[in-house]
Amino acid sequence: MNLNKNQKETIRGYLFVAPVLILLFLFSLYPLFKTIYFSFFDIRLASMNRKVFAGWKNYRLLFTRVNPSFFSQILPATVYYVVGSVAGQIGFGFLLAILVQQKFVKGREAIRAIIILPWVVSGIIIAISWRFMYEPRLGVLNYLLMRMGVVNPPTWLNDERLVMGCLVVANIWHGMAFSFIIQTSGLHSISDEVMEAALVDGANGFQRLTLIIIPLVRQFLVLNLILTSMATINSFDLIFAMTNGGPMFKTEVISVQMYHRAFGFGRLGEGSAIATIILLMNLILTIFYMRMNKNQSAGGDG
Amino acid sequence: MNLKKVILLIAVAALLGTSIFAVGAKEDVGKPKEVTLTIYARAYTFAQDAPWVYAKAELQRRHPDINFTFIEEGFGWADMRTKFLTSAAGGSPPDVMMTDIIWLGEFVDNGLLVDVTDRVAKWDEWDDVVEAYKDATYWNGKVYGTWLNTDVRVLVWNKDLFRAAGLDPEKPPKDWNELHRMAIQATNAPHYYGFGFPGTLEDESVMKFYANLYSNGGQILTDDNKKAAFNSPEGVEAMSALIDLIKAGATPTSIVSGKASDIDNGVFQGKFAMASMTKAYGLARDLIPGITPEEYKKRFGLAPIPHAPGGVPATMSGGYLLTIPTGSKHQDLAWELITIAAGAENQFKYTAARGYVPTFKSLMARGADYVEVDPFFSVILDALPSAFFRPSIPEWTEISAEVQNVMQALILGRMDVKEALDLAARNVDMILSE
Repeated sequence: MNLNKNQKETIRGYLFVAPVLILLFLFSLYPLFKTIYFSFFDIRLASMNRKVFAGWKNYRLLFTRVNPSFFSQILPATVYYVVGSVAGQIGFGFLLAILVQQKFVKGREAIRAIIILPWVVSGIIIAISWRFMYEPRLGVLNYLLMRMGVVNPPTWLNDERLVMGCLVVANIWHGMAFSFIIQTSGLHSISDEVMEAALVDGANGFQRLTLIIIPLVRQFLVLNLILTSMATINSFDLIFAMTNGGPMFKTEVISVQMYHRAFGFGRLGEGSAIATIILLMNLILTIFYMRMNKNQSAGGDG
Repeated sequence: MNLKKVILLIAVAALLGTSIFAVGAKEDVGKPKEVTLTIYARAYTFAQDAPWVYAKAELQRRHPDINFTFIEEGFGWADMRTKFLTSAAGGSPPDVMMTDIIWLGEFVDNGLLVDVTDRVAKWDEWDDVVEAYKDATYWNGKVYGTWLNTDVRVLVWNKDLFRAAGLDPEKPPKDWNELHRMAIQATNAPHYYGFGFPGTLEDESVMKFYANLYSNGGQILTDDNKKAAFNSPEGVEAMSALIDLIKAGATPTSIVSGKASDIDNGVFQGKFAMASMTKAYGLARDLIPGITPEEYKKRFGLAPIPHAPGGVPATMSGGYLLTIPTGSKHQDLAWELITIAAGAENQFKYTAARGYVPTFKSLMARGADYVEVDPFFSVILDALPSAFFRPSIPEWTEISAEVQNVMQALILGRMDVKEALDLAARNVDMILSE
């Protein structure tokens, strides 16, 4: 076969990316399509070779089950956890990045290393540590509160009003470092000249933050928002080890519900349907963030 | 090359090849065969000599021609079932599985366990198994394993906390009324409470309710296992007996996230004056290093679980079978390991050390030997006639979860007992009707 130079180049290019494409197919796309396929079958973990086509039954079950109810328990818990965690992680991560960036801060590298520590620790270890912090009688928090004279300190993870807040705080502590790293990169991308020009023009701290820093690191913020939202929607280990979805489904977020249906009860079809819904949630959020960013960029350019 | 040369060449090559393989075969003679056996069991069983350390050594002694590698994977209760199901689904099950008796129906119905009916018939210790326990190993007329141990729940109380409350440390409560009164008296909140029971989402949490239920003349499911029966008036009283302890402040609401191990440990650590549990002595030995039987007897007491006023004594029983998963590549060796691990001699060492109940007639007759190790063993043996099993039907895990869910709502005071049990019963009926 006679190929011209361009065709040879193209083929060579495809050959170079082929290994990555094969890996992507094997480890990402194949499991993804298999999960969607399973979601339309009544299939049990204990008997995977005996699957029966179930149509939309697994999706219907997710939305019509009453204990826990998707709309009054799972969805609110998920939204609370995701919004609280993402806002806290990005907010505190960004603030810390700005603080550490200040000229008066000494030993920046050491401070950065300390801030990053919680992120490199496994979720299960974090969960065990925070469970101990929140323990009603022996925990660190209540010990301190009782030392301060509080007679009836909260029972934290056992209190249905406080439990989700407790998880969000633990997750912010765990994930804040990731936002800190991204935002630090963003801040490094702003040239000193721009900041100095703002100073010369008499911009105060708040003006520099809102009119210069935030617009210039917006791409980093959006990337941070997408990655953190996805990670939080998918996150499972922290909640599983701290509350396992309880008490009374107050922390039964969608990823924990997926685990319970697929592995706790062995209903793989239902678990796959929930996984597909999680995928859709991630997709919708990503498209929303990207559109939002695109609109703002277009507005800014104009 | 002519034909003669070709034939000669092939002949020489064949000769050389045969010689090489012959040498290889000669080298294999006398070399031990390599066999890997994987065991899935509760983590604590690997932390003591019986059953596994002894069983592995004995199997190796019996087969000097085999070089065994044992892969031991230890789990918590719920994780073990999940891990087994996923490994079976992935086509790599273990060779020996420690199967909770309530999982038997689910595993067998899904073809995950090997039928060992013929094997037990040839096993010389099978006739020694107590008939009732032998019957429990059957599913659809076939045997799928043999008992490692069974257990019963008994009331354990902390005598120091009884003394501090002005209660007679040698007189435990006998019925629910006495339990209620004494639990309130023994409470010194928030430092310690009179009675503890787990409220987290696990099967052990609802065992306390089931014991009360049977004591009060109720049952979990109807006789044909087709509908829920725990929401009967007897069931409402049984659950109320527990929830009233919370309302009276003798049990903290924080038990809603308390695992059975947390509550059990709490009795030995002075956080709860009373709780019902299995393996009391084994636990005391784990938590209080070097505790002697005499000291144990001085500081803690064991008694039957308080029964319903006018009701019958009742306790819940469980336990584990050792089974061979379908797909095990070494089923003969796995069975041999099982018969050693769960044979009478090993079972004695294991059950005596943990405070579990043996399943062999010959061991039941060795009460004195058990008492030498565990001074309260007679209490455990006395509870056996009043022991009830949960139905080991395939839907059990889901059924139990429904009761666990409403129990959490009750602990937190979010529902009325009757309303909660009716809700759980409706969901259970739905699961059973599928």
